[in-house]
Amino acid sequence: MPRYHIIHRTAYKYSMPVAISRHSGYLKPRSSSRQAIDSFSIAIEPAPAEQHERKDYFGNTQLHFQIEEPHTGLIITAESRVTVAPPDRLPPPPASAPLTCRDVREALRKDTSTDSLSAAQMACRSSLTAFTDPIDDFAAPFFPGDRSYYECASDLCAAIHQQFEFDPHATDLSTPVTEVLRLRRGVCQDFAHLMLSCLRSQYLPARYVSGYILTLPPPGQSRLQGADASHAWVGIHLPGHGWIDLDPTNNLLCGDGHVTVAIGRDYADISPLRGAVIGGGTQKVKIEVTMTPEEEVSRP
Amino acid sequence: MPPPPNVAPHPSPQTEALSASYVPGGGYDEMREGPGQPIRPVWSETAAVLDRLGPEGLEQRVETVERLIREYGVSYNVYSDAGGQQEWAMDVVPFLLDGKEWSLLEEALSQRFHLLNLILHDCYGEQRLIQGGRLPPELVLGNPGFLTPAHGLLPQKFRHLHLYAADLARSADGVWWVLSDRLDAASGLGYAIENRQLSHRVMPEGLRGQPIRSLHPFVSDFCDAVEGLSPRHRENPHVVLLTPGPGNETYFEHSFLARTLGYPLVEGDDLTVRDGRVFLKSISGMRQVDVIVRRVDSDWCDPLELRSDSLLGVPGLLQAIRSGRVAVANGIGCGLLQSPAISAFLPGLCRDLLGENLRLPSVATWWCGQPAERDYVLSNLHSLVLKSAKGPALGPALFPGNHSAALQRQWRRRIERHPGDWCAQEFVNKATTPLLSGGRLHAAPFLLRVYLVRHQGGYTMMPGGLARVARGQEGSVSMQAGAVSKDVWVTGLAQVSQRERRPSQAAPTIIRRSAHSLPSRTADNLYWLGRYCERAEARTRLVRVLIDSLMDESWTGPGESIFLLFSALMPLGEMQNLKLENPQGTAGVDPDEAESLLRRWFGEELPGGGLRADIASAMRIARGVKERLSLDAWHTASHLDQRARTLPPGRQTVISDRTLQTLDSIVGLLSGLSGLFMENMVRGDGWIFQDLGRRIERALQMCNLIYSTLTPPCRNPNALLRPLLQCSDSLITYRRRYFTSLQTVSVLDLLICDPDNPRSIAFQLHRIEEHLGGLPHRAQSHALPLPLDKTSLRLTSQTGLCDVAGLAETNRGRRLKLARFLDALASGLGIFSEQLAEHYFAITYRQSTASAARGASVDLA
Repeated sequence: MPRYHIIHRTAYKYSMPVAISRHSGYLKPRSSSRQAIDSFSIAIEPAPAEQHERKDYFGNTQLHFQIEEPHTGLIITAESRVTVAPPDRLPPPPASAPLTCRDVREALRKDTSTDSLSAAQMACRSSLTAFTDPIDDFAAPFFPGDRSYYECASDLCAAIHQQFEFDPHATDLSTPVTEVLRLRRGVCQDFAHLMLSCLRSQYLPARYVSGYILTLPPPGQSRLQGADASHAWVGIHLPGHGWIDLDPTNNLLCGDGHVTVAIGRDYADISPLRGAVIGGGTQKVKIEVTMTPEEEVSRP
Repeated sequence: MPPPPNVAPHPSPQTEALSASYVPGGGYDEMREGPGQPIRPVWSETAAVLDRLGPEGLEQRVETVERLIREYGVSYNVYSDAGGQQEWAMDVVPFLLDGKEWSLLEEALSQRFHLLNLILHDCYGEQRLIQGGRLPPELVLGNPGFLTPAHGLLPQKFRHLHLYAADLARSADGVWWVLSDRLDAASGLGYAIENRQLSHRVMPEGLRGQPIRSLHPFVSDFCDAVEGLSPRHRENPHVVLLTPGPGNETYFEHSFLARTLGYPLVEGDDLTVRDGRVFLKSISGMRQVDVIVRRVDSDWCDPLELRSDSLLGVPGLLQAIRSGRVAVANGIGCGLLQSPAISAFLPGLCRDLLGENLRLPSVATWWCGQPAERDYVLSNLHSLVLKSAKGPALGPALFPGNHSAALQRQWRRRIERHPGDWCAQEFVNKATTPLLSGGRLHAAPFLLRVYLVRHQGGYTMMPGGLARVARGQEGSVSMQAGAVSKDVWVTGLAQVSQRERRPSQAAPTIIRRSAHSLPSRTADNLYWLGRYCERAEARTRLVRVLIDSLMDESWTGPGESIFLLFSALMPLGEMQNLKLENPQGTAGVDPDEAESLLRRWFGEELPGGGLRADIASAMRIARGVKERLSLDAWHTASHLDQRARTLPPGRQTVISDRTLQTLDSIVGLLSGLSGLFMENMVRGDGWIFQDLGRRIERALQMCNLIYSTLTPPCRNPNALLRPLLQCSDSLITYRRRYFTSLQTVSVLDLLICDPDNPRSIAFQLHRIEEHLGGLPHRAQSHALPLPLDKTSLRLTSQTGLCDVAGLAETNRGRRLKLARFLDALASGLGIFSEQLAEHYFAITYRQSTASAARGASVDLA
């Protein structure tokens, strides 16, 4: 089973001293049947005056900390070792789950188990997803009622990958998903929000997943430290089978190269770090993620 | 304030009595059972009072209420591009509610309050109601009002709702309905109490002549309820009222409530979370807060877990609530049940949870998320009120029946696409109540907002409320849209029931000598209030002397001194065309240019010009600390505001008697205000900061005045001494002290060094030193003097040791020593002001760092 060593480093630089700052965030990977957390540690510099962890509504680990000494820089380094189940332990392949979109909607209506309720919540609009006519028009052709939900979602995933260009400069955190649809450009968060908007506007359950993805170094070169970034994709719910993750940025069925940190309705629920600082002037942030397979780490 | 005019003993026999000429509306009417029918018993006494007053008497009362509203500054902010404030409107004719009917409403709404608390506890806890199919998941879990971080936040029952407000309507057949529930941060309670205070002033006969229930017991129950939430369970807990700030629609009532309840009014930036506790930043350091009465909507309360773009909240507040060290009323997330579609499920939930029928029905509601209901709505769209089903913030209600078929089709399509987003309600044909307009009573539809508090395990409804009446039969009852409010009178003596307050149980009165410590923001505001008032006063006196001199013909000769007086008001560069050289070699002033310069000065076209900006700044700050000002001080301030509007430049000549009169009355009002601060403000920290502001500003203005008039060369220097003394209100003091003609040395001594002249610089510095001794830093760190102590000491000794005769010396007409001395003094005062701000105010504003970790530069394909 693949084991990964992940270092996620966030560095803030402030032009003026920060008197006091408080932060919250999601940096600790979830443990689940698919992934086991072998170790996790977090280093915060300067040292916080207080630090807590709690389980949030969606079962993620939320981190809180507060720094009370004046500082002009802040570095948060989260280090995880995670074992991910190989593909044969992933949910049953789509072909064996011929649940139609209609079946899925019907199951959500009838089933009031806790699992089904949490799926039902994921079929509702959230703050960063939108139900508009252009979204409806874009999504509707993918979802005839009598087709398998998984196939429809896979087609949508492929279409987003094909029709949209990855462009970190086209959008920012405040770009609404409707604008992403118009621009046909964006980054993984944008594509995940777009895919979620499409699925949910069809009353189909889908959730936002944040995490890491293993990137392959160009042939003959070694892995670049910190070249990666945190990633985001979409989980769809198949009643009776559970959640299957699809990555619209890369048009992938998520396998053992994806590590899940947190799940939520959208980015707003589980942004990796949020903060409120007093003072600070202008700020710069630099994020580095290094995800390395353990065999590389242990190699001399 | 004069008492209201006496009631005319006999109505004029020719005119028909007001109540007799009242034509009730088509349906149920609050006053009259029907056209030509008798007046309802509950109205008999009030109708008699209205008849005795007659149209003329009432007209005077209307004028009085409008004047009082202006003077009290009762207002609400209007959300529009233009912004601005709108004055409150209250009909002098009250809304009357029979005591028995009120009791029935109280019972019914107590049940609803209880039910809503149980539902909130379930939704933010086990969610059995959703699992059991009693509430649709989409309406709760998919509701923007459902705040996931608030799940599990308040594990105990009955911790969510403490204050509950409901909007009630009476239908034309006389039945009461709940139109909407207000749970998150319900507004209007302050306005309701304010309305009662207005009624006491303008309808005293009505309130005295019959047993009308008082609002006081409710206010005290509310305080008990709020204070009882304190996690530390100690007497006299530290309660604060959290407001979004002066930009909020109902900021007036936040400051009014803070004053009425005796809690400090704070904004999010005033609070900070440390170690799971909430603290108020005050001038004496951090003070732990026990209970927050919240007027900030839930979603804006904590930028770390709720809306990250909120600058109104307190970062970490949810974590502090979780740790159980602070209580918030109402609990975070209550807005969930404000969604109109929820009311469709209340009757069933009431039977399930309480085993009883819902006593007061909601107006019939159909949620389109259910197929049968959606079909009903789609086939009856034209006769229903369409609303957005979810969310604590209610979107505008739509009346499809009033719109074109095309628009109706569009709504129909939107409902079909996303039915769960919509619900429809029955249109209530509303009952009517009399509204005074144009000297007559007209029947008008109304809404009634009532307030209940959970107290000692039971529920109490305020025997009063806020009625809103549309102007016109079909108009809107929103205050934003220009509706009129009414005080609500509940008749009948308080019944002794288990819900009434038991006086025997009342806690022993605690005498509080010193109020809770002053929030830093308030101290900052009071300091600047003092400074702006003083600045306005000094400049008004100066420009008054200047205009007076310009009008005095004997002054045409020594124009040079007038030139120097001008220079105290404006930069020299602006005055190039002012001086006229006379053939005799004496300087004069061009009268047209003087007029034009003053016009531009008043019009604030010159740098630092005018008085209005200073007065406007003082008023803006006064509004922000209104809960600290006595009513008399506030009245004087609003007179001042009105008077300032009549300042030049108008159409009249600036150099005129009329301007002098305006300036006289402004000086009078400003002195009145400073007298009220002096006499009526408790000598606490707040007063000290206000007075510090005054003293610093007065010393600075004096430096400027002496510098401008006495340091430049002047051919007839003594001509300036008299206006200088006039500007500083010291002429009489001088005359009594010296009995001689004016001399520069004596004038300088009087204005700079004389410790007994309340206008002298030395006097201000002594007061500053005294004030510093009374401020909290002494009590805490009696070890080392602070930088601001040193500055103060240095300034006092500089002034005390100065050699006045030396300062008066001239060198080629200039007084260089005086100029240097004044320069040093002014810059020392500036430094002192900065040090004071740094030590006591230090409000630095927060920003968010939400822009972390975005975008993966990964594209594997």
